[in-house]
Amino acid sequence: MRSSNEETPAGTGDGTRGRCGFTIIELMFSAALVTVILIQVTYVMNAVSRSAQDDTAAGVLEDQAEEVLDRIAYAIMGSDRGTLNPDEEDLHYTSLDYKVSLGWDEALEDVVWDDPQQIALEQVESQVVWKENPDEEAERRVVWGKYVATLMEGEDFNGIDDNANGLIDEEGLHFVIDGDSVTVRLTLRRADAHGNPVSVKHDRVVTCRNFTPPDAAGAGAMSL
Amino acid sequence: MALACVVVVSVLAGSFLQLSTSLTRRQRGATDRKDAFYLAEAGLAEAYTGLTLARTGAVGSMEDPAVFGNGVFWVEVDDLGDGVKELESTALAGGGRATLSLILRRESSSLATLGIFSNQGVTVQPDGFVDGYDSSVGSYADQVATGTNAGMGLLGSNGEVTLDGGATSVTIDGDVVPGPGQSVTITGAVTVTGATDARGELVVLPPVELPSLPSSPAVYHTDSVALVIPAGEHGFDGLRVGPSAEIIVTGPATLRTSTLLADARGRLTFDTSGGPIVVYVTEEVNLASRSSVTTSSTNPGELSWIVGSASGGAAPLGGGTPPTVALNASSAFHGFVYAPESTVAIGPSFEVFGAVVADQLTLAAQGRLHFDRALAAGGGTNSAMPVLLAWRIVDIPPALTASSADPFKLLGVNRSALRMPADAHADQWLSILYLDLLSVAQTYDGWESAFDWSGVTQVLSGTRDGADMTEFQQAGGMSVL
Repeated sequence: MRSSNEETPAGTGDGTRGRCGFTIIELMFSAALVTVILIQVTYVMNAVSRSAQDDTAAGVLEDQAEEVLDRIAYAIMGSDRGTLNPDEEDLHYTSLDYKVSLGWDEALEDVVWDDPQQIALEQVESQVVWKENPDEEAERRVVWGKYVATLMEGEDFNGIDDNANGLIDEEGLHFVIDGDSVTVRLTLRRADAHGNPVSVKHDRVVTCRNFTPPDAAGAGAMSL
Repeated sequence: MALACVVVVSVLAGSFLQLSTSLTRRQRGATDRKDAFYLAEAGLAEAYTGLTLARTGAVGSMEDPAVFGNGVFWVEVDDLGDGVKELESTALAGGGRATLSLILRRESSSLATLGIFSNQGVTVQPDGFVDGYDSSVGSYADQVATGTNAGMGLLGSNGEVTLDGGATSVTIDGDVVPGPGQSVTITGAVTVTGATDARGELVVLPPVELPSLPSSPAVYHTDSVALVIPAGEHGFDGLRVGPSAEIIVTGPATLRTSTLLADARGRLTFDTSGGPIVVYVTEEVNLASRSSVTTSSTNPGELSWIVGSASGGAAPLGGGTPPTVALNASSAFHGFVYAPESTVAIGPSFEVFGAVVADQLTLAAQGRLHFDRALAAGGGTNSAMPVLLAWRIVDIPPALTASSADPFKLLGVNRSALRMPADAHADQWLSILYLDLLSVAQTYDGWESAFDWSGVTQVLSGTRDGADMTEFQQAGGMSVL
């Protein structure tokens, strides 16, 4: 004989009611709990996502700045200091003309130089542009980078050297010549996915590795 | 539901991880490219250094590169003719690749590196004094006062060297280098502070190449007002300064004259403040006793006297009469005298600061000669170092750009079996005369890879594949190459 606490199999016809499924209250409670958990999870995911986006935006901008500076550096390295224009020292310029070496011509017995090239800041489009044969009919141009800031980071257009680097109101991309070296400074700025400004600043000092060789007496044996 | 949440979170985490990894990969790629670039530059520097030491410039190869840091490099050499070479350095570091090219020309060696040199034998008379100094670091007087010029003298010849101390003394504060198979003969009181070993090969003195300049009538200046020869190129049938008169030559200038003469009490002044002066003399230089020669600069590289006959020189150089050179003036002469056909007689009052190279050198008793080492190191108008003509970035070989794999795997080499850059230069046939650790002269003739440089204290002379090693080494400046 079963005790009153034992469950009676369904359909046994002894009149006792079986326990299965959830009650409405249990279901409502579960749903509410799951909803709260989902809301919390969503909130956390949004926060992490926002943070990741911010970091990614800064990282991508850093990457772009490095890439642009690498291109500028390699171009200036291969140029001849004597071909830089403008070439006055200690002033800052937003464009730089130069020529790179193509190698040696055995017939001419001289170094061969490429067509004139230029790296310039186009402020309206906020981009760095490389040009070959600038301002000529055969001009070629390639955009090397975008999001160039109007002014260097930390600088305001007020006639004062705000960032204490010896320059006044310098632009987001500028060149400063010192002897055989060129200092290139670049500031990129853009808004992230939430509209917050992200800015990176980089600079690089590059030395021109080509120069006009002196007249030579020729190779071989001793000479005066 | 929980499982679904876990799955969603896992997917999101995976996405963020992939994004982060992608960014890191790009940044590492940029770093590897920079590493490869600077490794390629290191390869060019290594090859350039090798060229200055009469090596070929080739370092390693694609099959056997040199290992440096976390990457490898090799340098190939292309001879473009007329002493022009192109060095192409390829480097791999991580996933980065770079190829750089350097074009340079091997410059000729300066004759001034010979010091005080006589093609035929030379005799130093009693009270003769030969030493050296380096004008690029200071004045002669300062270096003597501090003793920093000790051992810098250089007296050489293709023949025998005789040091006759007589009853007084002869002092050579530096090296004495007689010709091949010759020796230094010492009589009387003689002090030689350096080596006296013979050179390995004869020095060939090139003939003088005279400039073509229109010639003006001979000048014999006797006026009390100084005659100033302005900067520029000038030709004379003769130049002579009379008693109590003065001729001032203003640089930069190139002069060609048949004779350069100074009477007693006549004065010759060479003003190189505006630039260097080169004087070519074709028949005779005669500076009488009690005349004077003044040089405005103490840099010997700014004044050169080149003496050579217009007919191409005396035997064995030609068939003409060799010019004569007699330097008896009172002078602290800062300059370089080159007279490959002539006997140069230097009087006791003509003190030379610089270098003198002649067919026959006659040094009077009490003569004082001071070799300026700065001329040997390029302080003059010439340098023995290769001259850089062009530098550029070139295309990387396609076989290397196809993959960003580890360099050692890509090239199929074992890192531990690779050589360091200094040991990876192309092997050459080495012929060398040197002093070993016991200062005993030794010779070696064979492949350089089989030679042990650790047993060398000083290189006296040597060639690599028949090419002379640089004067920098012959002057005793380097021992291990």
